[in-house]
Amino acid sequence: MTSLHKQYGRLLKLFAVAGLVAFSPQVFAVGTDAGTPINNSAFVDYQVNGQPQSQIQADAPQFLVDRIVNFTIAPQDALNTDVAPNEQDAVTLFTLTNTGNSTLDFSLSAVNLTGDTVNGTVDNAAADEPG
Amino acid sequence: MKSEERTSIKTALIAGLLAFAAPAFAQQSGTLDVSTTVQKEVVETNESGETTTRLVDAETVIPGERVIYTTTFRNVGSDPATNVVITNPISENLDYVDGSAFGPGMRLEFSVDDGATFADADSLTVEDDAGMRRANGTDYTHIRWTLTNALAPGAQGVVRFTAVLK
Repeated sequence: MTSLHKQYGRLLKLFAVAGLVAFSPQVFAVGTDAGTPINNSAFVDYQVNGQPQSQIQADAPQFLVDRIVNFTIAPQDALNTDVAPNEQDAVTLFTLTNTGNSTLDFSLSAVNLTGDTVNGTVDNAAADEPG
Repeated sequence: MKSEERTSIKTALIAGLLAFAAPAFAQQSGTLDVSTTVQKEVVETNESGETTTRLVDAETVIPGERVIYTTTFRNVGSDPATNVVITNPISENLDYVDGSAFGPGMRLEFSVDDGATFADADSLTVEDDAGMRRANGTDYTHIRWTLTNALAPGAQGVVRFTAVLK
């Protein structure tokens, strides 16, 4: 009975992790697209000697939305990847999210931490739109 | 240095245009001369760590930065202008910064229904999933300033507001 509870608990945890990964891309707010022109106008109405005059439109100079570079990178699995001695092609996954306001190219590389004998390389990367 | 030079050239050009335009408008009775500028704040830190903020022309802006719109109006005619009303729709890519609108001698109102109706900030409400709540800057679609007194010939006024780029 106790072991059944444990199993359910593990299953629940698994669902919780799956849910987080699925929702994370929508959590990040991405600003107005880079290059978007922003305009503003003020409209003035008035009277002279009680008579309405033609409306005046005053346009502000247009400005452009500049590019903002922002991204996050996080391990996709909450658990470590177990690797047996001499095992080849063990995989650990990371999710790179572009939280800026334009499409960017990223180049990823793996760095070995000290104290282990694992040689890591980046094998595959999928491109996606910002957000 | 280069951009400063460019700015001063632009300023000189605008000043030249205004000087040319003003006499033409002055011929007409009661005409207002109106212009609008957009600037952004630049915070600079000097060697001793002191920060100074100055306004520069907004040419490029990143999401999250604030821009300041200033509209100036002047009566270049020979009769007083009355019922002067300035209406400024807020771009869909901008959020009005609460409390930023300013206009000496002017009544300030906002719209949350695309300019159909206007009211004081304190009495504007919007309805969302949680029910009725007080409207804030992100709900505003328009700002309206109404000059309470007549604008005498030669007199001028200014209105200003700050918005943040979404």
